[in-house]
Amino acid sequence: MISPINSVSVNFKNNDDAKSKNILYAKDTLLENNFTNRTRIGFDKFTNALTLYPAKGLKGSKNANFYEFLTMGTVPYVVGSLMLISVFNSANKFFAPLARSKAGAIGRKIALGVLFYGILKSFTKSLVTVPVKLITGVDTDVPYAKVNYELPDDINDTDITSIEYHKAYESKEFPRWDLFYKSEAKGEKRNEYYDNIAKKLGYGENLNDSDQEIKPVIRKIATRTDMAKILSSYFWAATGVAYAFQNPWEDYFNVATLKFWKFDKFKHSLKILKDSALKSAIELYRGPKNATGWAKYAGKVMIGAAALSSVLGVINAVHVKKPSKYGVDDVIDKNGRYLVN
Amino acid sequence: MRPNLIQTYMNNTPAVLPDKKDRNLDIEHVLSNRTFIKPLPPKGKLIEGGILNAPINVAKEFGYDAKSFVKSVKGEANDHELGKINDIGMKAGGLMIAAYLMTRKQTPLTKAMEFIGFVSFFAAMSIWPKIALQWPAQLIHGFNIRQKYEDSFGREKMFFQDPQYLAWSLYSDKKINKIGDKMGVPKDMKNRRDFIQEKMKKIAVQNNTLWMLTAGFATPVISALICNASEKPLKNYLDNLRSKKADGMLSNVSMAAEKFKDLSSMKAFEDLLSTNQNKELTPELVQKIKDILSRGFDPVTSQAVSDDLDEILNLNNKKYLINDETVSKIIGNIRDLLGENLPLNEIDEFLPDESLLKAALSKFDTQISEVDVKKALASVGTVIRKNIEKYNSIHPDKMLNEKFIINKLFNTKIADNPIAKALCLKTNSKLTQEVIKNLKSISAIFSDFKAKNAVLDEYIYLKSAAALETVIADTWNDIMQSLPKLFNITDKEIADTRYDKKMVSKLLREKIENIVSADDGLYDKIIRELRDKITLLDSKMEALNTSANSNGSYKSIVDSIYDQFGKLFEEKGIRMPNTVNRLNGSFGSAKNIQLSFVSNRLLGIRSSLYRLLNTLDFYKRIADIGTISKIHTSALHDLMPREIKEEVVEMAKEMSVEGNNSDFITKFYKTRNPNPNLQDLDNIEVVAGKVKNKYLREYVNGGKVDIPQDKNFFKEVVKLLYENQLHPKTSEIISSGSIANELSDYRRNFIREIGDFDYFFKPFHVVNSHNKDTKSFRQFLLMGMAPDQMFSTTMKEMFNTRKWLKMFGGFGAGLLGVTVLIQFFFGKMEAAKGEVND
Repeated sequence: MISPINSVSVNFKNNDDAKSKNILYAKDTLLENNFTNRTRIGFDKFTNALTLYPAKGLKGSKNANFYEFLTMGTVPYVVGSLMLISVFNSANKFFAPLARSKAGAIGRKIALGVLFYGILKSFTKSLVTVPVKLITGVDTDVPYAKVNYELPDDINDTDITSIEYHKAYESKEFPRWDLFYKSEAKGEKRNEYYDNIAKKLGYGENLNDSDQEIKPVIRKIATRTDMAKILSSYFWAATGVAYAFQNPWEDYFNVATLKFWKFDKFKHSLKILKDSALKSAIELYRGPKNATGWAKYAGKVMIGAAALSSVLGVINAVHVKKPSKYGVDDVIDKNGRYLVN
Repeated sequence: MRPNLIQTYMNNTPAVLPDKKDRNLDIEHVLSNRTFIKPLPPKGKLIEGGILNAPINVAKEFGYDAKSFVKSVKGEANDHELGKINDIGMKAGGLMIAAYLMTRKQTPLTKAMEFIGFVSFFAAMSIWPKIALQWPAQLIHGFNIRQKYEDSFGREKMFFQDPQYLAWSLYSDKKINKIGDKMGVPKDMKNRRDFIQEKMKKIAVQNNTLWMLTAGFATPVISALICNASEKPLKNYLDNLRSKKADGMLSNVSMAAEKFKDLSSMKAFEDLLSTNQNKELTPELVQKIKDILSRGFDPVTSQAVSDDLDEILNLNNKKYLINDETVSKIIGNIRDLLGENLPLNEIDEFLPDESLLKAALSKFDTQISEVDVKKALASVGTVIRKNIEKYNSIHPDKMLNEKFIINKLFNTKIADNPIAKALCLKTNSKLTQEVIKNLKSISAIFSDFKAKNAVLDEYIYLKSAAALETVIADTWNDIMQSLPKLFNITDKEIADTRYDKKMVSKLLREKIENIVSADDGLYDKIIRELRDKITLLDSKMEALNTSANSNGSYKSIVDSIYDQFGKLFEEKGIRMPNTVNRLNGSFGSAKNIQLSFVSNRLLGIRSSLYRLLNTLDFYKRIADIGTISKIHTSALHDLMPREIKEEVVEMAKEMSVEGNNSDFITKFYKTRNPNPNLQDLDNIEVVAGKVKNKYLREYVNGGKVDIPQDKNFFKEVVKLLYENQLHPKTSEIISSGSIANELSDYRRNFIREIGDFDYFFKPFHVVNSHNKDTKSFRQFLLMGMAPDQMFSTTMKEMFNTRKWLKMFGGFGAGLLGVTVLIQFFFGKMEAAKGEVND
């Protein structure tokens, strides 16, 4: 019989070896989706994107790969944000005073817009993923460390491993199902992960092949969640930009300072920041004073669209077809003939 | 070594029977043929896209995006399709931002620019890798590093995106070898194809990395540059659109007016009339009718409408009806009012009963006039007073305060008086069918007139309002922006003078002096260009020229609309004299305001441009001092001492470049020598456009002072500027255009309305006690904008734009240069030993 090729095809070492030799991972390892791990992974990817990967890429290393290319995608985001801020601010100081203050107000709103875009784009993803996880038990963001064995650069190159951080459901065509199986050798229940999700989704307990039954469902949930997560995050980011463009922020810009050692001024600026943030939120919602027509409702539409995209996204993601309570044999064939006493 | 799965399979007969449907399959036969283990033939291909295919590709991409979205919603998308969701999200988010910011902008151009910003950002994202990476790499290395291919499933991908998975089979040997030739890979190399492939892969990886590193710097800059470049064409396009829209409206006012007709109000008015037909015209109903009909008119016109309606509704001759109801209402109203201060039982005791009141009112007709109301009021007062006296005589212990009661009841305006209110409760005026017919006609005429007037307002707004993005404002801005270049003002000069108008004045004077003294044809060029620009402005504003009464002009249309308004009432036999006079009268009428608004706007703008023209001409006349004509004027005449001449010329030079309205009002504060040298009658000396002063800069004993009583001085200055004949060169150039007459009109008006010494006054200095006043607004318009102000404003804006362009344009160019340069070092690879034949 042709058996499937195990996706973990190379297995030089096990993690115990790794520990003893102070290597982080020796084989592909599922990680817990917690704050520490997320921060560590984010930091690792970010520093690599700025240092190691560009160095490898510019040399044209034969080991450069698609993961590294994608990870380097952070660079244009960060640099582009700073550049965008710069485009609207750097020249202003040369302008005549009145023009300077006018351009400055726009420039600072752009800066705030860039900031809010970034913040809202990252943090609103959990508005979709967390409810989906709570409702279905499927954490679409669960990360794993992938160990790559590279070609040595030269004869002295002994460090041929490289760690990549992926998400187990990153690929919908080839999710890393294997990482979710527990080891029976260690006395664990092989299908525990799939059992739990099956139970949560209403497929019942003690299923013979919970993994086989639930994998297509997870795949659906993960696909829908990703879609909602991505789309809604852009809507929220756009709303963030709209929020940054409200006029009350100018009050804060006039007193803004980061010199915390000048305590009174700093405290005052924080107070104004709070006021401006609140007033801006109100202005975004109600529209600017004397606004007519679209301008009056545009803010509401933005907030509404963003919120709706998250809510609908979650609803769509968790809305999976439950299995019928009855087997095929339990259902009466309507076309058949029956004798009723 | 890995087990050979096929071999293993063949060696072990399958233990499990094949599925039902495959039961007849002869596995041995199939295996011996080995057909099924062959992979399907690949269907992938490289995409050789030209620009011509772009629209088809865009449509295809859009279709694929839509399909991806639908499949993602269903949860059935594959990785490639799900990847598209990011593009969709980014674009949708960008569009949302643009749409939102658009709602915060006021004018069409600024609104449109938000979308340009959105589009340019995405354009910049795709342009940068093309111009900085793909095209240079193609030239340097001979292949497309951003080659796209379609895989066997029809999915479009970048060929080099994953260097660990490259579908090399899509490149033919011929193609690879051609690339190798360009790269200079030796032709007789062993494994040549492999070597070329490795080299291509290396270059692609390097370029992709460079792309990621530079895109962040490049995209915002390119996007901003695109916005910058597209602003002007977009503005011109919108200008054109606006101008056409306005002209279209004026050419068919009746049709354009349909949009402004308030049909629902007309209908509501007719309903109001029909529900109140033959009913009494109560004050509330009258007010309602007046309010509806005068809606949209200014307060003065509304008053005129109200006066005319009084006549039409016959309110000036109305009579009030007196009957039993009136009497009981009088008693009720008195009770209500006095009840605030007195107990009701006391009031009832002294209040006259109905028969007494009836008797008191019996001497009047049942219908009384406005005058009789007052008399009736007095009669009622007498009855009440008598009753109070009677009450007080009966109750000496609790006497009423008669004065208080009478005051409270009668010491009010007639409109507020409780008794008068009762007397005026019912009138004999009714909303008769005849009145309704007239009111309907008035409503129809008003509605049509208001709508047409709205068209006129919209037209003059689009053309000439003092607002952003009107035809006149855009034309003005175009002219202003062309000036610094026309006057050869350098970037450095712009940068140096940007903080202070005074510095611009100095610079401008210097420039003009150079221009008029040099013989390089620049003066001619400037005069020609200014002439053409003013002509262009005139042509754009042709219809608005209120002096032109030709058919189709703004004035003729305003005339016909307002004249028709009066005629329609005449035809219907409805008298609305106050309203017609207010709207179409001779003095201070709404029609005149409608016309003068436009002519004032044009006057202000034309004066500014003619002033600049005149200033140049004056400087030219001084530069060629011999050409100063002394035929018509006393300007710089032979009997004028040289010292005074120097003062006059200096003053005229300052005034023409810098003088603003307040300077003119005070006729300039100018310190001069109180005891000039009157003996030296020589002419002034001029070198290179500048006066070589003999006296002006000299120290004066006791100091220089302002001499406000010297009325001739200002007159001489103005005459030199505005009355002295134009320089022959200027005359020659101007006469070949259509503005010669307008320029001489402008000069004549200026002399007449501003330059005459008759109303020479300063605070606390009235000379000749003359006060022949031109309105200050008219003076302001004739004065126009001072040239230094024009240049200062424009140069400030220019500096900002250029500074920005220099900074970021320079940065962008530098980045492009470095990005291209680096690529020359890409793809360096040594061939392994033995692969190259020596």
